[in-house]
Amino acid sequence: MFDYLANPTRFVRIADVLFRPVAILATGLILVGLYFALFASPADYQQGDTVRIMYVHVPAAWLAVLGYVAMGVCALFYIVWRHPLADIALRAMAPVGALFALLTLVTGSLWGKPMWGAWWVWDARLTSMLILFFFYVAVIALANGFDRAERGSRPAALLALVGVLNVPIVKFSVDWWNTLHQPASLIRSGGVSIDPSMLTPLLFMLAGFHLYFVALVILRMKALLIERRITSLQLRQARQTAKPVHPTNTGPNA
Amino acid sequence: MSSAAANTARTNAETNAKTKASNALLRLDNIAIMRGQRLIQQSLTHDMKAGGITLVTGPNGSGKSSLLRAIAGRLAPAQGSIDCNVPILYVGHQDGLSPALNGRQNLQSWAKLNEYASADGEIEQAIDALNATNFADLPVRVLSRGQRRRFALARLCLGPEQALWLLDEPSAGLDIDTSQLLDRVISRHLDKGGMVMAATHLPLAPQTRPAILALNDINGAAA
Amino acid sequence: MNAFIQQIQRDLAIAWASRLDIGVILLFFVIIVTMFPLAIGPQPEILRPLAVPLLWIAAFLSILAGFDRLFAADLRDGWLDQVALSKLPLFAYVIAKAVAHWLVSGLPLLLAVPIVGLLLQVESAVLPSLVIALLIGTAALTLLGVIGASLASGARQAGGLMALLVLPLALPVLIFGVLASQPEAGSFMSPHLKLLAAVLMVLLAIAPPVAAAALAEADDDGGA
Repeated sequence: MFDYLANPTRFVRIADVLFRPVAILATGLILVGLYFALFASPADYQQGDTVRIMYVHVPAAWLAVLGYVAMGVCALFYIVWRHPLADIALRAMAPVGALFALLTLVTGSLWGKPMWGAWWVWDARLTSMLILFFFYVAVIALANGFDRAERGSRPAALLALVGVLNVPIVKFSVDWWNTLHQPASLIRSGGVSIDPSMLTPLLFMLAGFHLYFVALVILRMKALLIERRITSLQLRQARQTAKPVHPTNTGPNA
Repeated sequence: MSSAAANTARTNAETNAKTKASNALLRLDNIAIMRGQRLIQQSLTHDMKAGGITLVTGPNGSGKSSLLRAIAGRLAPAQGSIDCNVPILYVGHQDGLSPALNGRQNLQSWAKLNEYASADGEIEQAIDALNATNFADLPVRVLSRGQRRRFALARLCLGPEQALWLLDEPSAGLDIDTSQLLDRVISRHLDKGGMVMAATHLPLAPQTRPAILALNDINGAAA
Repeated sequence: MNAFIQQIQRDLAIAWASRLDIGVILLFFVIIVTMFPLAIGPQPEILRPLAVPLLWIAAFLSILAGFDRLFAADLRDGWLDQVALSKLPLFAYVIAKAVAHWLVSGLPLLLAVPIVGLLLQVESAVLPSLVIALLIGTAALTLLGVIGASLASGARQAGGLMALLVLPLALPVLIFGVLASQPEAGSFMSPHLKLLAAVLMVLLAIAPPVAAAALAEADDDGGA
C-alpha cells in the first residue's frame, strides 16, 4: 500500500477524495462530543464545571504524544526505506502535533487557574508536555532551517527518531524531579475518577480529535506536495531562461 | 518501489558478472544522480579499466562534481549501480586540509588516517613530487590557492598504486609548471595500472590520450 | 585504532593552534556565573543554595557555545569526505570528535569549577560530588552536542538551531546532574549519579550512529 501511495500525483488525488468525508466525520464527532461534554454530562463534585476542560485537554494531550510517535514512524520510513512520502508526512505532522501540545498547555493552564490559583504550575505532566512542545519546535525549525529546502528532511527525521527515544527518558526524569521537589503533590491532574457518563463525551472527543488530526495532516501533505511542484517548476524556468539565445549543444539525451 | 528494487538487484547481478568478465575496475551502470529534489543526470553508463583515464566535461550544473562524489560514495545514486573494485582517492572541490596546520602535518595526518606511508620519507617524496617543499612548514592558511592545491594533490602520491583517482578541477589555480608536474604524476600512476577520472574545464595530461565523458545539463532548454 | 587516535590528535593539534579559544570558553563561563549574583543579589544566604544549579546552567551554556565548531571546519575543509573514504568508520570518527571536544571544552571547565564556584559561595563539602557529576554531565552534553552539530551543520542559524535541539534533550542531564551534585550522607554513589551515568550510556549508544547517519551524505553545498 505504501508503494502505491508513493507517487505524489496519485496521493494528491486520493487525498482529495479522502479529505472531505474525514473532515466532516471529525467535525460531527467533535460536535457530538461537545454536546455531551458541555450539557449532557455531570459536573465534578469537587471541581464543578471546570472539569469540562478535561474533554479538550485529555484528547489534546493524547494526540500530542501520538503525533510525535507517528512522526517518529514516518522518520523511520524515511531514513531506512527512503520512502518519498514519509518526509512529506513528517513535515505535515510536526506543526499539527505542536499545536495539540500547545492546546494541551493552554487548556491545562486554564484548568489550573481555578483549581490551583496560578496560571502555571510546574506539575510533572504539564512540564513534560512543555518539553515535548520544545521537541516539536526543534524538529520544525531543523526541517526548515536550510537554504536548500529539502536539505532539512534527513536531519529532521533523525532528530525525530532521537526525540522518540528520549521522550521516555525526559518523562521519567521530570517525574523524578517532580516527586523530589514536591513531596506533597498539590493535585493529581486527570485525577478525576472516570464515571461512565464522563466516558462517552471523552471517547467522542478523542475519536473526533484523531480524525481532525488525520484531516489536517492530509491537507498539509497535499499543500506541501503542491509547494514542491511549484518550486520544481520555478527551478526549471530559471534554468531555461538562463540559456543564451543561440542554439546550445545537442547531446545523447535527446 | 519493490519492483524497482528487484530490477536494481537484477541489474547489479548482471553488472557484477559483466565486470568480472571484462575486467573493468570501475563500472557505472545506468546511474541517475539527484541533488535534493532535482535530477541532474540520468542514464549514465561508463567503464574504466586499469591504466584508464577519463575526463568528465560539461557546463556548470551538469553534475560533474556530483558524479565524482557519487563514485566516491558521498552521494547515493538515485538509480543504477556503481561498482568499483579498487581503493579510491578523492581530491574534491575542497582541499581536505586544515588551515591551522602546515602542509606537512596535514599530509601526515591524512596518511595516518588511512594507514598509508609508514615512513616519513614517503611524505617528503610526495611533497617534492608537487614541488611544495619550500612552503611545507607554513600554516596552510597563509598559502595561496595553488599552493594549497599542491598539498591536496600530494596525497595522491601516498596512496596505493592501483587506485582510482577522482579529481575535481585538479589543475584549477595551478601555474603551468605545477600543471606539468601533475600531468607527470598522473602518467606515472596510469603506467602502474591506476585509473584517473577528472572533472575539468582545462586540458589535463593530454599525453595520456584520455577518454572524454561529456555531461549535458539535462535541466536546461533543449537546443 | 591508530586512525581513531590520530583523529583525536589532529583535533587537539588544531585546537592547540588556536588555543586562545579555550580561554574564551572559560571567560564565557565566568561571565555567565557573574550574571547571577548581579541579577539576584549578593547575599550569601540566597546564593549558596542556588550555587550548584547555577554552576550547572553556566557550564551547559558555555559548552553549548562551542558546538557549531564541532563539525563545521571538517565540513568546510572537505576533511569529512576524506574520513568517509578512509577505513575509519564514521561512528568512530564521531566518537573521536566528541573526545577531543570534551578535552578542549569540558575539561577546562571542570578544572575551573572549584575556583569559579567561589563566586557563588559554593560549599567546599559539595565540590567532590559536584565535580564528578559535572564530569559525567559534560560528557553527556558533549554527546548531545555531537547530535546537534551533525544535524544542524549547514543550516542558516546553525548555532541557534543547535541550542534548540540540544537543550530539551539536555534537561534530564540537568535534572539528574544537579541532584547528583549534592553529596549523600556517607555514600559516594548516590542513585542520582547512577541515573546520570545511565543517561550517559544511552547517549553513548545513540549519538555515534545518529551523527554518522547525518554526516554520511553531508557536503558543504559547494560545486555543481
